[in-house]
Amino acid sequence: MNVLGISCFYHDSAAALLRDGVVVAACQEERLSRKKHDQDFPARAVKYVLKQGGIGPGDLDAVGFYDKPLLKFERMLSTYIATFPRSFGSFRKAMPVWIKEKLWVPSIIRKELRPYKGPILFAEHHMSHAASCFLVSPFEEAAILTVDGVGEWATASFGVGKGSDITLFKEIRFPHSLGLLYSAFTYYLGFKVNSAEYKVMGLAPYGKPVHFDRIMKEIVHLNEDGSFKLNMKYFSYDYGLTMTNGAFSDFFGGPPRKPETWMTEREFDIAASIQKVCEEIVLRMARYIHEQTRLTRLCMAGGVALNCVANGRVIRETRFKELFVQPAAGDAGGSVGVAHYVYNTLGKQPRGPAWTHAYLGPEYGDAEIREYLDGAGATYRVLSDGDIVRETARLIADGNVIGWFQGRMEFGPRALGGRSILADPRDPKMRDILNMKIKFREGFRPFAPSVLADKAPEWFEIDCDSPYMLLVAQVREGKRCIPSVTHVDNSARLQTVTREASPLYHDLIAEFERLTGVPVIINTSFNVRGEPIVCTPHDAYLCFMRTNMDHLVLGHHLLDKKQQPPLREDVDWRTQFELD
Amino acid sequence: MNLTEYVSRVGARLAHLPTHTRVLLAFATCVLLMEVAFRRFGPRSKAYARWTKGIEAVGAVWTAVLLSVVYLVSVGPVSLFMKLTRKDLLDRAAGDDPTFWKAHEANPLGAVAAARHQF
Repeated sequence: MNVLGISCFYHDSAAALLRDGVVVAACQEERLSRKKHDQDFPARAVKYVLKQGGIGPGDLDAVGFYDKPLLKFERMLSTYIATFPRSFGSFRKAMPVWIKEKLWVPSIIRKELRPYKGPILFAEHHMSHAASCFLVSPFEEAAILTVDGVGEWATASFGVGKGSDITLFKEIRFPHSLGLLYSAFTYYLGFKVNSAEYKVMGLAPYGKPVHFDRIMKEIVHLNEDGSFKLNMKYFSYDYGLTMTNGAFSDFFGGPPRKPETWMTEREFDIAASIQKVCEEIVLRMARYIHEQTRLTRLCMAGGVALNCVANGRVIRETRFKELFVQPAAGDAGGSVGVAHYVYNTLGKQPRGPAWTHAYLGPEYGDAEIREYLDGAGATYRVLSDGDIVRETARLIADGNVIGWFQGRMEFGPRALGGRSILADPRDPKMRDILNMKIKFREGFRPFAPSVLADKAPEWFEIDCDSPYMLLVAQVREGKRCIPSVTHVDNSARLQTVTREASPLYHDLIAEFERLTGVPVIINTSFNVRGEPIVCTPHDAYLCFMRTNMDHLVLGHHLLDKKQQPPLREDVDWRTQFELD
Repeated sequence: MNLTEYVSRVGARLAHLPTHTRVLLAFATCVLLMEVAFRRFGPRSKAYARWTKGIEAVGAVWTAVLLSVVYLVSVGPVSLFMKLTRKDLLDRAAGDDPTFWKAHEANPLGAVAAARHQF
């Protein structure tokens, strides 16, 4: 049975193909359209997943959509009514899009998937999130927590998954939303909403949570059970085109920071404060869910589940013993969720094997890579598996920055060794080099380490796997010789790498350890600021040539920047990508 | 009725229309003819791009006008009624409730039937 899952029309549209309960392929549209957080119908992603499955639209048995558009529309109308007349601007902007597109989801799907004639099924937004984490987790039974900006009405929900069934018990409803609260602060700090929330998380350790008590007293009414209401006096996202209003600015003593301007202690402290608020809410929610369910395993999804600092505290400070966070925890993962929900829960089918990796995207063989490189006039060497590992590890140990393009592309926002930029974490200057000369991004942003899974507890204060880079742990005191992946608070957002999940990447880190004694390398996404992670050899080669990377490894092909012909460009690529 | 007779009848009917209606009809006909001509003779011309941009601007203005009317006529009165009856569709008041969790309401249609609907 072939089930196609689709998520789109808000942000991060994606498609996933499930065959007999196993994900054959999943891909975000942005990787193929090259438009960051692309929200359009994922026509390219659908085409890819069907091609990967070797089928056409007519061979599908069911198509699932990740939310219920009419319930969302009802919520919007209710909001306009409740906030009249201030909601006029938002109404005028949103209505044409709804009338033209969002109210006609079944028609659009049928048009895009001709000649498909089967059913189109809809799952609630948070059910899609819940299914996306629980049904691919290794747990037969687990508590589920989903937290994001907003779906239809729910902004957070919890329940229990058992076998193929999922039951959601309770929820928090719009406008009271942890995701939107965090996004409001993201906006106020001068970053892009629905895109740069992770920057606030990265900024937080530079500051002190001096506003925490004030926020909890005046803005967030938080109960012991993790449920909360927001004081909407401070926000404008329910009626306007911005997230916060004048009252919010008065509360923090000034207007929102203008994007790309200098940051001060004030911004650091605000980031630290909202991060602490977020962690406090998630922790209380998790404790309450444990009390209610008495289960010791927890699955999490929704955009807030990408807050790996909060995730790390959940596993350390609650009674949950095991945690599974969906690698594509945001809306893109909804495509996987709805496909599983349709197949397993509605279809009452047993679950397939649990996910062990997130390499579900396009792959390019050596023949395709060579054809591209020859066409581009690139100079390269072809190496065996063993040589590519040895040579790359040596280059990293010598201080080079490497573009690493291997196998299938990752599904989700993190690069996990399929489309990564790699470097030596021992060099204290490497963080600045990567930020300024390779990624062209803000200097405060930390880099994440990939570590051999069996060596992780030796180097970091962690006793569980973090294969999707969704947990933060402290670097152990005697192991602080990796400054480029150690944040100012001595934390690191780590990826644990096993040979089973990623053999070549594992061998590379093992070889690096053999050369240096350090089983850790820097792993950052293969892109520049504002650009989606590279997908094809062409994307990778362009990114390599446009930045100051030293070498590029494409499959078995090793390219040295010094030997490449100059790139003939007819566009200023820095204007091509909108800054996030 | 032959074609000549039909055309003259339509012409006579148009001649009896008020002036502003005739002006509007003439304008609409011109726009239609221009669009057809551009599509036929210069679909990739700069002039057609400018023409499209201009028409889209007119469309944007009209959309704004129509949506303003819809907003005032439909959203306004309902909002007023809600305010008079002190109902808040967004449940914004904080209160002293021991919990703000709300029960997840299962769709009365049942999971399988509910999945066939967008609500």
